[in-house]
Amino acid sequence: MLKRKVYLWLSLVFMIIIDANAQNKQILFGLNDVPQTLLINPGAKVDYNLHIGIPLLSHIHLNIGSSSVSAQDVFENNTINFNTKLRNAIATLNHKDFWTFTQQLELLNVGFRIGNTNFNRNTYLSFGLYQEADAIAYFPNDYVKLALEGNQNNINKRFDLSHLNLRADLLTVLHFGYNKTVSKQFTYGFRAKIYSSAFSLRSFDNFGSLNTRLGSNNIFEHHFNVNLKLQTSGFTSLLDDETDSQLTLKEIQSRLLLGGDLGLGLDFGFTYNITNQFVLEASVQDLGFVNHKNDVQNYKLIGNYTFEGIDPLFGGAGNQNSPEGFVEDVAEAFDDLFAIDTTQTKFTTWRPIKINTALRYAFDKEKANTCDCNQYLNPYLSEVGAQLFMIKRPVQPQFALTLYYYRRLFNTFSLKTSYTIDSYSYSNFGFGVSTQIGAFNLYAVADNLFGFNNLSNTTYQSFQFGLNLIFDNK
Amino acid sequence: MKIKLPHIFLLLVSLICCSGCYEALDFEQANDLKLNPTFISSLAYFDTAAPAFIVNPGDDNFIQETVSLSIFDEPFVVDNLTRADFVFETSNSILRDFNARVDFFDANRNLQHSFTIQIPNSTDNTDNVNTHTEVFEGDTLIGLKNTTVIVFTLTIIPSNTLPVITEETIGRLKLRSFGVFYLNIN
Repeated sequence: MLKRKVYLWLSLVFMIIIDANAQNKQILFGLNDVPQTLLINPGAKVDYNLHIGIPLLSHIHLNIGSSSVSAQDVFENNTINFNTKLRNAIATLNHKDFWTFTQQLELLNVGFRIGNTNFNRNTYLSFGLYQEADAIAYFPNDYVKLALEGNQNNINKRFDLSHLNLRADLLTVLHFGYNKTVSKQFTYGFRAKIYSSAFSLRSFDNFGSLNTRLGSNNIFEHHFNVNLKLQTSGFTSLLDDETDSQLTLKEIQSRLLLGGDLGLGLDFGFTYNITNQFVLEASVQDLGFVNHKNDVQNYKLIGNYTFEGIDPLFGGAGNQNSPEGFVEDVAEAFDDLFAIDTTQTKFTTWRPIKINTALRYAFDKEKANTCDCNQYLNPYLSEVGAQLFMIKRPVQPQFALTLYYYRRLFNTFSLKTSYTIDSYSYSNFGFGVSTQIGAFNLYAVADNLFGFNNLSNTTYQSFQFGLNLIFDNK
Repeated sequence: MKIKLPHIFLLLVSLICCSGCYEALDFEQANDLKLNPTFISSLAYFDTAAPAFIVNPGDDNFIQETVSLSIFDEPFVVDNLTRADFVFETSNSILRDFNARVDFFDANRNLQHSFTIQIPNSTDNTDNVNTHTEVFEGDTLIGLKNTTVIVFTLTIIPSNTLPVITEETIGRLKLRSFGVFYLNIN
C-alpha cells in the first residue's frame, strides 16, 4: 500500500511537473498580432477592429516544470540503483525548490472596437471566459530529510516544519477588458475579473520544528513545536464516498460556471512609445482575491511539548506520580500534540499577482510605409527587446528575464524568438509564430525548445496554441 | 508566395513541437524504494538519593515498577522495525551494588525477554558510571514487538561487607536511557 502511494506520488510529481515559471508567457507578451496578448497586458496596442476566439481552441496553454530535478534524473532506465538516484536528486534540492503546473483553456474570447466615427474609434472592448488549473508545491526538505535519515545522526538539528508549502487551484475567470488608445504614444487598459473557484487547497505559513538535543534529566530530550495548517474548499463533498462520479462532474461544471466560490480581480497595463522606435510596456495581472466559503474544511495541528522519557521510577525527582500514571500523561500529551483540529471557517486567498514589463526597440522600417499615413500602424518590421516577469509565490517571488527578437514577414506572418533566464534554466530558447490567413489567425508558441529533444530530461516545458478570427486589421 | 513562406515556418514549428520525445523511463523502479531512517527516543530516567533504598528488617530488597506500552500496537512499527538498541547509562555514588532487571511481557503476561543491568558500587561516593546496551534482533526483536508491559526491578545486592543504607547515607543512583530504532521501509 505504501509502495503504491509512493509510486503514485513520485509519478505525479515527476510526470506532471516540468516548468518553473508556469505562468510566464514571455513570447505571447508583446505579440500584438494575437488577441490573447490583451490578457497579459490589457493596455497592449490593438491593430484590429474585431476578434472572435474559436471556442475551446482560442487559447490552450500547458506549462509544467521543476526548478531542479528532471524525471530522467530519477527514473532513467540504467544500472544505477533507484534509491541512489533518488538520494542524489534529493541532495540537489532545498526547500526553495518547487514544482509547478499551469493549464489554461479559453472557452470564449471576443473583442470589438467602439466609437462614433472612424477618427475616434480608439476604444477596444473585450470579454471572455477561461478555465485555469494552477498548482505549486515546494520541496519539503526537512520532512524528507527526517524520513530518509531519522534523528540519530541529526542530534541538535532543528527540523524546520515551515518547509511544507503547497497550493492547488481549479477555477474559471470571467473577464471584461477596456483598452484605450489615447494617442500615438500612449495606450492603456484594464480588465475586471470574476473568479469562480471549483476547488482550492493550500498549506502555507506553517512553522515550528522537531528537535532532538542533549537533555538535562535524560541523555536526550525531544522538543516538538508544531504549527501546521491546511485549508481546503470544494474537496470534502467531492471526496465523499457516497457521491457518484456523474454528480461530481456536474458539481464541478456548475462551480466552473460561476457556481463556485467567487472572487474579484483586476489587470491593468499600458504601452508608451518613448520615441517612434522605443516602447515601454508594463502590466499587472491578477490583483485579486477569492472568498472561499462553500464546502470549506480546514485542518490545524498546533502543539508544543518536550519529552525526556518516563520519570519518575522508584520515587525519583520528588514526583509522586506513579510510572503508570506518568506513561498515561505522556500518551495524553502526544495525543494532544498530534490531534488535528478541523474547522469550517471560510477563508480568503489572494491570486498569484504577476507583473510584466518590457522595453522594446523597433527597427527596419517597411519601405512601402514611409508616408506614415496611418499614425497607429507600426511601420517597423523588426523588434528587439528585454522583458522582465515577476510572479508572487508563497515562499519568494520568482523572476524571469527575457531577451527577444521579433520579425514581421509580409502582412500575414510574424515570429518571435526568445532567450529566457530564470532561476531554473540558463538555456531556455523559445519560439512563437502567428499567421493571418484571411480572417483566420493561428498562433503557436513553444518554450524551452531544447527540452523537446528529450522531454524526460527537461525541467521546464511550455506550450501555447490558439485559433482566432480577426477582422479589419489596420 | 505569401502563403507558402508562412507554411514553411509553420511546418518548422510543427516539426519542433512534434519531435519532442521521451527517453525511456522506468517508473516501476519506484517499487524498489527503500527508506532506512534511524530514530532515537528517550526511554526512562531517574535520579534517586540513597535513603530511598533503605531496607528495613523484613522488607524486600527490591523495588518494582510496571509500565504499559502501546507503541508496538502500531502496525507501521511492527512492519518496519528491523532492530532496536536500548542504551542505559547508570551512575552510582552509593557504596552499595545494585542491579536492574528489565522484563518484557506480552498481553497474556508471558515473558518475552529479560535482561539485567549490573550497577556496581562506588568506592568513594564519586560517580561510578557504566553503560549497558541491549540489542533486539531476530527472536528478541519479535519478543519486543509482542511486548505490552515492561517490569523494572531494582535490587540492592545483599552484602556483609558494604555499609547498610540509612537516612544519613550519602550518594545517588541515576539512570538515563534511550532507544535506537532502525527502520527499513519498503
